Amino acid sequence: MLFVFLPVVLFGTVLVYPMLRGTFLAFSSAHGESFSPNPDRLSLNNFRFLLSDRLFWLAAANTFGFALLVSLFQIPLALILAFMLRSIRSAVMPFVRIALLSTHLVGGVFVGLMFLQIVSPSVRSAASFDVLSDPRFTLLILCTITLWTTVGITALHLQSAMRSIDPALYDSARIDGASGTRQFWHVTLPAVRGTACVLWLAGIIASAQLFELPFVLYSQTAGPRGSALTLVMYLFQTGFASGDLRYAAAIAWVMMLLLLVVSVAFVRVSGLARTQTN
Amino acid sequence: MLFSAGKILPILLLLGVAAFVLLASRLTGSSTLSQHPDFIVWTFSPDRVTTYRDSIDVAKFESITGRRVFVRLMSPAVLNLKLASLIDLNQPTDALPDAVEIELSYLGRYFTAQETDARSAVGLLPLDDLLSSSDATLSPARLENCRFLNSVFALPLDVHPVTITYRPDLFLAAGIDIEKATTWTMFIAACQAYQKSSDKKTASTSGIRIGRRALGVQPFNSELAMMILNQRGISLIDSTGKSRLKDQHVLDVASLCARMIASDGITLAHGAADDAWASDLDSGKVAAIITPDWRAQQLTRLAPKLAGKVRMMPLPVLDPLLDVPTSTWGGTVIAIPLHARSTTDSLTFLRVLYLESQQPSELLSANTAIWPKQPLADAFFSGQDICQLQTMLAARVKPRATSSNAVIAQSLLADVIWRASELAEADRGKWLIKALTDADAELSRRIEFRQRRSH
Amino acid sequence: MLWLIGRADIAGLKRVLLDSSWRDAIVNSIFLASIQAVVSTLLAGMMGFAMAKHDFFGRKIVLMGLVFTMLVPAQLLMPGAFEMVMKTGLFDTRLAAIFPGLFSVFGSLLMMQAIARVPDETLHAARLDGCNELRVWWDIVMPQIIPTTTTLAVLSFAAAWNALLWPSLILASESKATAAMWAANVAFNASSGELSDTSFIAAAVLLTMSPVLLLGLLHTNDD
Repeated sequence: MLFVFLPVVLFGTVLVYPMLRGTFLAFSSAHGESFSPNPDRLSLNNFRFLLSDRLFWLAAANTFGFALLVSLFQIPLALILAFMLRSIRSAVMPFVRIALLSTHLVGGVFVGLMFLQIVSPSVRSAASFDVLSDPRFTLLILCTITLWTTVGITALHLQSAMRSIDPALYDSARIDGASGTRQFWHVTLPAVRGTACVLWLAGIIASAQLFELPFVLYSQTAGPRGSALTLVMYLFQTGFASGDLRYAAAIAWVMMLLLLVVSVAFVRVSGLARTQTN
Repeated sequence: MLFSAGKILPILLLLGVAAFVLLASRLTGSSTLSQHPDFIVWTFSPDRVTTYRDSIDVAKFESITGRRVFVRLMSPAVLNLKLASLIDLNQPTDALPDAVEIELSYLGRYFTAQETDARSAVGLLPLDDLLSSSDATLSPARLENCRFLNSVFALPLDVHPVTITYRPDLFLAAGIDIEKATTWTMFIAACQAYQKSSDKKTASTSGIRIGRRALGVQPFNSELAMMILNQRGISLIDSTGKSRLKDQHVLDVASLCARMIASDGITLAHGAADDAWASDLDSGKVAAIITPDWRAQQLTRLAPKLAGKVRMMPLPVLDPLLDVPTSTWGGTVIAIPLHARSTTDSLTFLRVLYLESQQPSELLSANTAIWPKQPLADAFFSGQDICQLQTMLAARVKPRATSSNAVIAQSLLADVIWRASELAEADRGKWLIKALTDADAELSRRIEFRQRRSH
Repeated sequence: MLWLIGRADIAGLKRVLLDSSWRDAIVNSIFLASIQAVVSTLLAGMMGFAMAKHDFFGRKIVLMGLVFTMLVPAQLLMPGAFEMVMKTGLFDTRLAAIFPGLFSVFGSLLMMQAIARVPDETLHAARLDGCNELRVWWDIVMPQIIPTTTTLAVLSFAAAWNALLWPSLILASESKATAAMWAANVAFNASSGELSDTSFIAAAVLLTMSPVLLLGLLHTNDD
């Protein structure tokens, strides 16, 4: 049983201290900043300010809007893609796999820079239309690029899960006269449900933490009319650009709380917490 | 047995071990900085590395203290991140540099303590004693940038006078002598005339409106407004920490900028790529760009085809009596961390290199704020003496206060100007008054939030 | 990608390959990324096994705790983690650079899902035969989830390879720079106009990215 508890304990200790310090910062408020000689006193000042902070709620709206849009499309697209991959010949498979993996493997900064070159008007000299400076397009651009980056790897994850499905199930479905779509619905989906749910949850959480992409695309600003201001970007600006670590911690905590509500709801609805045994 | 979990883990393990062997064979000795007696300076500018290397002041410093100067170069974001994290620890550590160059826009982050006796809370060493014991005169405008709570925490390293670089060939083709435009109103009129004439030409040749604009600006932010405000020496947050968004002059400048960036205005936002400004001028998408001195240098490298086809002019002004025809853009300061290993040595470093410098000038100095740059190839700028122009302007630059709330103030202003630019010209005035009052209230609220930290 | 390939040429490639700081950086990255991939995948596998097949007291809490830690933005944890590193004197060590990456919560959850699909009967049989948990895990469970393990390992490698923020903060010596840090430095020099040799830049980026992509080739489902 030691073997079981060892990883749990390891994980726990490593993650605890930084989180505790972050919590403490959020609840504290004192004269001066983190290197003030005065002792910190616990207070809810930071949170009170946050409630009326227009920028925070703008960031929250942007972020959750983005996360919602991405999560609506990410898993379904990946599922369909993974299902289609089953019928690809094994000779071609490695190349397909590389292609799908590469969009994720190259890293967020590189993707951002690449798209910058494509979308930036200085390259396409004929256009006087700068899509990056139009606030209506921000969400669309960010979503598209994120989906482009993540659907591939998600599909591969799902494909790994699909491989463990007993082929006999597919055979019996085919014998019963089920078409491809119905096979997908009744055989594939239930079996990969667990993995799909984890991926979905991780996708929502990762989307909520969007930072690198808008950071690079909009040159470290909040974009046109602040439409590219995500929560983590606001966190970064407050913490690093302004040096207000306490308020930054408070922002992080409220953000995590909001996400927690979403996550808990998701876990319950999807039944992720049950040990699934066949 | 080893392969129970698949091929990949053993492969990776093998790779890792191989790499480890390679690394181990190249062990260069202890890496802990405590055994690193060199005097470590952090900088983010490759130019500065060269300057340090060739400087006779550095040699003098090394002979005085017996410590070798080691310059570490890193990108500004990384430098700021590391420095901020180390300073936040608020304890002596060998990881701190002995002297560090900070980009001006990052300096405000350290100026956050609010009590008068919180000089020690800034995390950087106060330099007042050093300055008072020296005869050197530093540019008061630049020194103002480094001042907080009546103490100076850094020394200004350079002045970045801002000018406009333009393409005479494009303007002349439209029959306009843009250098005659010494006020912003005249400048806007001239640019609009240019645009009208070039629109006519391009529309007839291709039927597609290519959208040539006169002036290139940075996207998404309020640099333009900040620049014009600085011509009169006005900062969004003044040196007492109060918000100035409601000021009449801010209103005037906001209105001016809204007019310039409106869809029927004279500006075009550069793409977000780092060198978009250079390629925009190169391709003729814009006929003029805003150039702090370092951009003028970079232009020779980024757009070599423009050699001989550009000229530089001072900025137009709003009020010839009150404003100067130049501004600042960024800047570098050098500071000593409060918990640096040997503050005595660090102070000596600053004294020898900056206050008592004997470096012959290929380092031009404007009021003794050192300006390390190489003279530009005059041929590039059509035979103009760029250095002289910039030196003269550098002496006239007005101060700008540094504040930790600057980022918020600027983004509030940017938002207001952007929205104003989308209104019809007639509606702008009234709307701006209200919008700026609101923005002022918001900014003041935030400033107060950061100050009032009790109960 | 194609634009990059177009810009790179043999001369640029040669310059990058000959640059000893690039070679150092690559070796550093290979070491860090490999170790991180191996250890984090194994740890995640152990964690997943513990969570999936053992209904211990507090299991649900641990699960929620895991999900909760995924919510925390890295930027918030950095000051605290940095302080930990400074206090333990591990600043500028490679160990500190990879340490946070060794504990992959996402990986644990993924492994948990994959292991859940392993039939219980095989596990019971093995335990009855007298295997301890370690053997059950390594000999019975892990072989059944090879596709997931491979995916995780590749991802972990890529994450370690591309990581920029934490290594930049922790590693100070130039000899310890990772490939990503090196490439970022090149990009920084390029954007300030210091470096205008486009073929060098393009080659630098390509060559820095390629090991990760090559590793992707290893990612097969048919081990």
